[in-house]
Amino acid sequence: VHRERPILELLGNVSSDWERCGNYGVVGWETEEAAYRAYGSDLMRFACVLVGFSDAEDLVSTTMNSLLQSDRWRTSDDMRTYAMGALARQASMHHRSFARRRLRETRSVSAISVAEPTLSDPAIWNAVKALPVRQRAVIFLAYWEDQSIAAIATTLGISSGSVKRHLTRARQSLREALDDY
Amino acid sequence: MTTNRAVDDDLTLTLRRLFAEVGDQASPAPGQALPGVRPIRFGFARIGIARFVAMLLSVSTLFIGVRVTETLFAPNEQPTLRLVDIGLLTQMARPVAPTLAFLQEASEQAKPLAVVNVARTFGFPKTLLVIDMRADFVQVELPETLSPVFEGGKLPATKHAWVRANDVRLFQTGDAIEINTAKRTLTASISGKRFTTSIAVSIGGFVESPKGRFQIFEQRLAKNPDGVFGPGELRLTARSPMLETYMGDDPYFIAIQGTNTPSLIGQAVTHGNFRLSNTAWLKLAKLPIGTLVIIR
Repeated sequence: VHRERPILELLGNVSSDWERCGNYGVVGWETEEAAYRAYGSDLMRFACVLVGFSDAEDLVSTTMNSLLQSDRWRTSDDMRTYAMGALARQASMHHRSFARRRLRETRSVSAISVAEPTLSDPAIWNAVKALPVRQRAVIFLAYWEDQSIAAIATTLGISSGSVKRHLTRARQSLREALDDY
Repeated sequence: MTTNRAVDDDLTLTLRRLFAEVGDQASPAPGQALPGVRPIRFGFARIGIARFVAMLLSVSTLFIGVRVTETLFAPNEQPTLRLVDIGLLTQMARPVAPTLAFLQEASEQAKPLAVVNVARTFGFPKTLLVIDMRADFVQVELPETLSPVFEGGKLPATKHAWVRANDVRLFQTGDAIEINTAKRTLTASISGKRFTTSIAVSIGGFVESPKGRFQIFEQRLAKNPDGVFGPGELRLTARSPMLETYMGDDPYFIAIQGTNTPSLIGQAVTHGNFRLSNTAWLKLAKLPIGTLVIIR
């Protein structure tokens, strides 16, 4: 408990002008925290689209943990784009491991009740949820973030051709799903 | 209708409405649920968003978060603290008195374990890592090199001792070096900037480097910069557990050295020392004596 007290004042002989004391602000997480505070809700929205409401928080926290491990995020040109790309990459990994885990859990538990918020148009939401993760990421970036094909390709780290293909296929399956409905 | 847009069709409105609603329905981002989240100061460590994310979301990372705050000051011989995980900020004490009395307890009546002549004691880093503090006393970590150089050669029973607060001057620093012997990398944090470099490590077996928390105690520049150690070596308070001397030289202190054979960097070839490129060594040479070195 005594560690919590302002020990520096307690001891009178503190030198504050030591040559390396200036490091104090630099070694913290100020840059990352500011970015996270600014873009946190955007990341959550993207995560919900990528993996659904129940796993979104997990995904964001896993991604943040890995982003904080390296200096790349801090030094990237656009921290928001970098975080979005990392989230999409994490989502594909997340999807693989979680699909297996969910299968196990479904077998052991007869009925899982996940509290999902009710949306005004469940048909389109179900159609989006039925898409592969990569296609969800592409349609989110295209329709919500208003990004160009080239920008989406940069964010996700894939080629422009792949982006176009994902976009076409996603649009096709969404239209089919909505027409059936 | 900007030309930059990737899409422009009848789906747009439906999807935009959907994504807007998803964002409204989503729970707040982890850590943002708390009003006015600020980096928390635990002692001298600043653990901001990482700790909050860990606390709120996962039991396993919560454990890591707690462990970090605990081990920063706990008299723990295992280096559980990770430089890359948190903005590491260590509290150091520099002796201002010519002699330093190491006490077993934080009281004036305590019998000194030893009295060290700061200027003349070999292997003394001049700067000590602070473990704990009381009103008039500071608990410091005894450098391993100190043990054999006490007068009379008597080893202190503990790795930690108290010194009088008036005998030292306190300061904080973010500078540190972390060596990962498994990955064969060295990460240094110098004036807030970090860099990681590949190093040569010990061949293992009986010349394995010790693991733990150490300090730089001496910087030696080589007389011949083209020699085997390159520009010089940074001696650590770590001692080889097995080797007494090396090539008939001083006691075998583990050191961070440059090299004249860069092709060996990244391999397990040394007798316990760490060898890195000469440019990287010159960067490390800016670090002051007493800088924390974590070997894991």
